[in-house]
Amino acid sequence: MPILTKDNTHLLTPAFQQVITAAAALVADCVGAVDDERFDEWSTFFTDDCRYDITTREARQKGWPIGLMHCAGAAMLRDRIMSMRHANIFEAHHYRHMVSATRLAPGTDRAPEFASGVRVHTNFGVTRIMANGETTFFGSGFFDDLIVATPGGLRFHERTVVLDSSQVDTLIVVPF
Amino acid sequence: MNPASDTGLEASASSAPPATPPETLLTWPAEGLARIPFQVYNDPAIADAEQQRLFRGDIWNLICLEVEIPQPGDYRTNVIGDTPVVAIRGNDGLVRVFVNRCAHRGSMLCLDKSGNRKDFTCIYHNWVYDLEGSLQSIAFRRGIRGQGGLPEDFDPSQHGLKQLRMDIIGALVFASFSEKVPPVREWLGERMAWNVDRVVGRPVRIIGGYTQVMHNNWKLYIENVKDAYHAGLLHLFFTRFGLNRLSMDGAVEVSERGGHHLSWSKMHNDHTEGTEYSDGKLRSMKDFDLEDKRLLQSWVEHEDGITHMIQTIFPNVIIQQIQNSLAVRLLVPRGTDECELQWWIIGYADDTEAQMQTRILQSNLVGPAGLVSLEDGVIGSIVQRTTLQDPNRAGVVEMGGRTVESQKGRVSETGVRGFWQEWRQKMGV
Ligand code: FES
Ligand SMILES: [Fe+2]
Repeated sequence: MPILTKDNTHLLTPAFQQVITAAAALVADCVGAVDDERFDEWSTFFTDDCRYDITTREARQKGWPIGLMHCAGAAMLRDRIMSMRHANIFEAHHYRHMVSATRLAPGTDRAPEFASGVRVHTNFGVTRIMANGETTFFGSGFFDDLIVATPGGLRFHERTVVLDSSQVDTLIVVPF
Repeated sequence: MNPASDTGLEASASSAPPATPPETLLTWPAEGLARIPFQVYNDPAIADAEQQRLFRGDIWNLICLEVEIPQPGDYRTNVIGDTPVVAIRGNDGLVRVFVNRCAHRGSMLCLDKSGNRKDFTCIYHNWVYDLEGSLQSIAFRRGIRGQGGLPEDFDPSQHGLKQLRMDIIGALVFASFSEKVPPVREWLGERMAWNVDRVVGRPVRIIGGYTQVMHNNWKLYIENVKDAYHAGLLHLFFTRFGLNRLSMDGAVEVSERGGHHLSWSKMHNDHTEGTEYSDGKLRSMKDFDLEDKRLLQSWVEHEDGITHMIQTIFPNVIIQQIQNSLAVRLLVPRGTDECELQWWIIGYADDTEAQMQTRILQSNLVGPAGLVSLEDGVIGSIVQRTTLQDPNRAGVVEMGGRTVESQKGRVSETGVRGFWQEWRQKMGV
């Protein structure tokens, strides 16, 4: 496996390209499931003992442990979906994510291997489309993901959705 | 009657509402507090008048938590209604609150949400004020080589920053434009101050924060918070898990003038037998269960056994204890049809790691993504839209009677009526 190089020659190695391509595909497939409202699939992108947070840039800078959403384990992800479907009341809407290329997290200092976990960052913008067609830019930020290999394939073991703004319009019920 | 005061919109920062109520602003329905005219949510003249009579009137406005500005020079900006203000700790250790505005031409002095500074140096023409608000230096006061500069008789002592009255209760820093309003503790009254002490009366730690923008008049949100009747009905998550049902022991308490309120319940004293909850008729009883119940784990934090306590401080502050999820919220109007809700999520400085973990898990219940409360972000907008074209129609608030008083049980809108009682008094309508 390649070691990250200052002159970016590591980018040219097939092993590096395989890792980053696989990570990017997982990120893209997961937002695809959310945007297509295949919510039963959403939790299957995560390990059983995953951690999922939605937080803000400000909260990270200030070291606040609480963001907007915190799930400890895939069961809590499923509970979020169940609550959205059966308990929460809101106006119908869906998202469309626009994601950037996926890159190794800054500070990565060894060759990326899924066996030990690969940390990647992916920028996103999300539009929110209401049932009447009204479309607003809902938020931007980046996914801070730790991806691991499991017998079932690649999964998110940690996902932190870092929103650029601390200001949320109305509510968040559909996960990012 | 004094027709000259009809608009009441003079730009001065005077705290006194006009002695004679301007009858042209609004005619309240004859039914009194049992009705709320839709006009109050949509009329720009009312929103303007609120800036003077309410936010710059005889009330206290929450600015920040004291723990945000621990050191000399630490500052935190915010707004009082539409007016930018800044709270700053002086070299003498005292907190002062100023209008965040240079006395020269009005440039905003502190642009960031928070920070630390040795003085207030205005970015526009470099006038410098000390942390007590006195004008210390003026760039080119004497001009250059005898040309320009200020007149000889210009008196810098007359051009300091506009300082507001400041008072602190528990962790909360308040400010007021009013010279008349009594100190915060007295203004709250004994019972309301009791809960402020109960929740923020010991060293707190900020553990989260965000702002929620809602597309409704600010008063629709504050009414929602005071409406104990909706809590066990709109919020299905609550009722299904027995977190807060209307059948629990509880009460709605209102302050003497009506504007502050407390709504509380004890989840360990629930009696659903013989209510509409137990016969499964209500939508809130449909089957729904959590796979991971750690979200619902809590400890009884107070000896009084109260597990759910929501307080409003007139007109726009909320103190929340939902199990172990603690928050302070400030509601700021943005015109007639938008408002922003600033949240401080808090714990205590001496929380154990386990207590902090519980608060973190329970934070899922509140805020814009709160499993319990996310509905509150949109319900105001759902009401607002129906009121636009019918300013003379009115909402009906007769749950628990037509008057304002503390009530046992929470199938009541007494808190909502209380808000309007004090709002009308302050607004003179
Ligand atoms: S506006 Fe502040 S120095 Fe001129
Ligand atoms: Fe509510």
